[in-house]
Amino acid sequence: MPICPAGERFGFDEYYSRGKAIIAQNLLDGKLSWSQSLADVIYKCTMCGACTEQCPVAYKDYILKVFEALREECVDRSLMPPSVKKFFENIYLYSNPWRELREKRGEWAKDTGVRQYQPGDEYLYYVGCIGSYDERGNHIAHALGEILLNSGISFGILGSEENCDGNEVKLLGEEGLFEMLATENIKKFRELGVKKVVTLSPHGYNVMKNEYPRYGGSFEVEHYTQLLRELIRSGKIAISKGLNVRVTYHDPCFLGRYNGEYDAPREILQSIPGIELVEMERNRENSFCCGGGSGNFYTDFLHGGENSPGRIRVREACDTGAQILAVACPSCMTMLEDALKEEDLGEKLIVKDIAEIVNDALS
Amino acid sequence: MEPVTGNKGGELMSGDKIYALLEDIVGSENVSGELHTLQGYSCDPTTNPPSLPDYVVIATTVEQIQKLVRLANRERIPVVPVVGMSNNGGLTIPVEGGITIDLHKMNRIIEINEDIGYAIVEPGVTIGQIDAELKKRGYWVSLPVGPPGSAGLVPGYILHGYGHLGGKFGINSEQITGMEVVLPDGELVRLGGCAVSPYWFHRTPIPDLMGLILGWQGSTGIVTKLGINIYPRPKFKAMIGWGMFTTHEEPLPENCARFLIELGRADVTYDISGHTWGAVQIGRGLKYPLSPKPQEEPELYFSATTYAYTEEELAVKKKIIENLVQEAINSGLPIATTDVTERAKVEMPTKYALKYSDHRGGGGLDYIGSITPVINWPQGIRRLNEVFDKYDFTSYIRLSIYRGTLQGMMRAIMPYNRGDENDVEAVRKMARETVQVILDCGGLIYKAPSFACEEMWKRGDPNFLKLLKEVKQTFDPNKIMNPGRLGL
Repeated sequence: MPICPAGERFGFDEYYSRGKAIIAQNLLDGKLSWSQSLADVIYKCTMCGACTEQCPVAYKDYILKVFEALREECVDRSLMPPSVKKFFENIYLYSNPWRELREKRGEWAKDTGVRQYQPGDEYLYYVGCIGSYDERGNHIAHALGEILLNSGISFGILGSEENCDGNEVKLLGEEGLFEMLATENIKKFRELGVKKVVTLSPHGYNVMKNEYPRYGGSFEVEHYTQLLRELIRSGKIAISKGLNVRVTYHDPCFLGRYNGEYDAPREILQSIPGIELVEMERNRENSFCCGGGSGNFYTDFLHGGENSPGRIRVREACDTGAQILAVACPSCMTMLEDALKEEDLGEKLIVKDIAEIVNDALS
Repeated sequence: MEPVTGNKGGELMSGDKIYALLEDIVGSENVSGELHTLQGYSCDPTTNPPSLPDYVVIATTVEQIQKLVRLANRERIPVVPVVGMSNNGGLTIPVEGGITIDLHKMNRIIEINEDIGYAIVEPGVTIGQIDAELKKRGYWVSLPVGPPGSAGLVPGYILHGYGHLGGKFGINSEQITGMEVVLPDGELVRLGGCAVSPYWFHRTPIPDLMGLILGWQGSTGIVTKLGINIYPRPKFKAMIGWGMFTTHEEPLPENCARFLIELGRADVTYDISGHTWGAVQIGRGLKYPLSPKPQEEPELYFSATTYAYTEEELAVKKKIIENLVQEAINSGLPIATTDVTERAKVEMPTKYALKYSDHRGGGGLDYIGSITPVINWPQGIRRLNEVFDKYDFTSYIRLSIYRGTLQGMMRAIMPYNRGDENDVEAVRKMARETVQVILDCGGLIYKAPSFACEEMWKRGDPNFLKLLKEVKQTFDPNKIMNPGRLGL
């Protein structure tokens, strides 16, 4: 089945992996010049990694590196689209894409039991931009907070002292800004004596696990589903309430393909009595990207029309007969909920984060 | 070589007016004249020189294709249909520019008729897509061997390609039951039984005009629907392997070729395929240059694959094959069985052709295929080895017998480094020499590039070439349909 979200949206060969590789080769050979329209094509990719997963040749691990390098060139040449430029500016000035005030970053946790991280806490609960500022993201952050409180582990958040993790910044080609974010975060974590981080978003998980070490980051990092699985297995979270619902799970790219974690979310869902887990045709390493990666939840390059990846994905979810489309990523939540509205499928399906589902099932 | 571009036709509208007309037909989102778009459609993995189209359009309906073809005819602009951009023969390179029509979004499986045994697909339906859908229902079709699952099914059929069930059902084009085509004047026509019957179940007994489209490399029409046979999907599979422990200079002696013919005639296999030792090493991911072949390894690896609906049937078929192989061994042929346990697990569609393209680095893959009498394979493989050796390339020859008859696909596959001019030049020469070898063996070139067609016509019946030209002239007097093909 088709696997490239940008390719499905726009159709021309240059939006697929093959086409972008040809662009890169022609730029190197001097057969193509840099231009704004070329940059627009280069940025219309969610960096979901599906092409790398499908490619059988030995150099497949370089595919995404080439795409990232193309974007770095765009940044160096000031060719990034205006929305990408704005994204960088807002991250630099406000540490979030929406120019929201820093002091509001931890407000979602007000009136919950979730408190500021203290040295000695076992876990830093890293919430991320969407979880901190987006209303729907707040709900997910809140749900996970409740679960962690319930589990008895010691944890805290950084609140207004939390900075953007930089995953999208790096994928969009601003290596300098990313280095600044990464080093600041690592410094903060070190000052607080953070040993373990649990992230709400797979994007934060991915960048802290795979990129922060080269800047000196030496802490353990888990995505919350990995921690949740262990908490359930060890009995620290007791799920006794059945939900009696058919659920299908959407594998987020930065948890699944990028980091090989397909089982933890499924184990969690299957541990809830009454849940019937059904798979979409494109699942696990073949999961079809929601369209939100590489900052697209903000820049929205792939939006529009019935071929937008989010709409394709919710139609696929609906075909399973599921009542809930489960996600484990606030970015996926944003994209798929919007798509559901556009497809007018709200009466057949709802999108819920695994944290919300588990929270519903806690006694 | 620098890519060439530009319309080569007669009186033309300005580019802007044509662009506007294309937008009217397919919508502004589905037209591009940007260089970064055109370049993607100008080349393929082969050494055929790149050539830019002037426009690329994405068509999603038959009516759009008809309008595009009528516009092209009026303005004398070439049109080139493409699907998955994985063609390995230069056939989608727009050698005279024009409009490349990307059909990959016309990807509906229109009908699967289990009672009568056919499916109707649009040109953008992929190998993976049709296989996944039929698998759910317990059916399958003969899938082109080598291309990835994202490749279009229709091109592999209308070009007379070989499929993984070819040993039982024949060349893919023999599985075609009907088609709908947009002719070069924009008219829409059905060919095969579906021209009369509501069912797309057979080409005969009415006059079979599909020969006016099949094998013409998109130069007589654009196929918009294809009917193909589907078959119940067997539950059980067995693969028996053997190696031919011969020499590089005489890799397939005549008695070994006769053994293959006998095995094919036993009519219990779905596929009998072989590879050179070099091809197997490439498949293992080994890079050029390979270490010398160890003496204890065979010159040629073969396997026979069979399928069955019951375990008992499988046991019988497997026994027949094993007995034939053992008889060959007992009669003194240089054959020994080989372990194919891992290979047997490989499911179609495979991606092996893409994997092999990296053997010398640089991702290029050129290819000359043929249908050649098996009895002439001995001299063919020997001489192909000589061609590979002459240019210091790993001998990569693939062989498949189809439908238990006496001929099969003999193909030379040439991974090369696209960034190395010496490699490119060598492969171009190898391709030409390979063509001569095949023609000397009485073979016919499959998916023939123009230079290969010219060689075939030189040796063939001049009235056949005359007739080809007359048909092409009748169908396409303005020469808009994928010009530069077939040496016409």
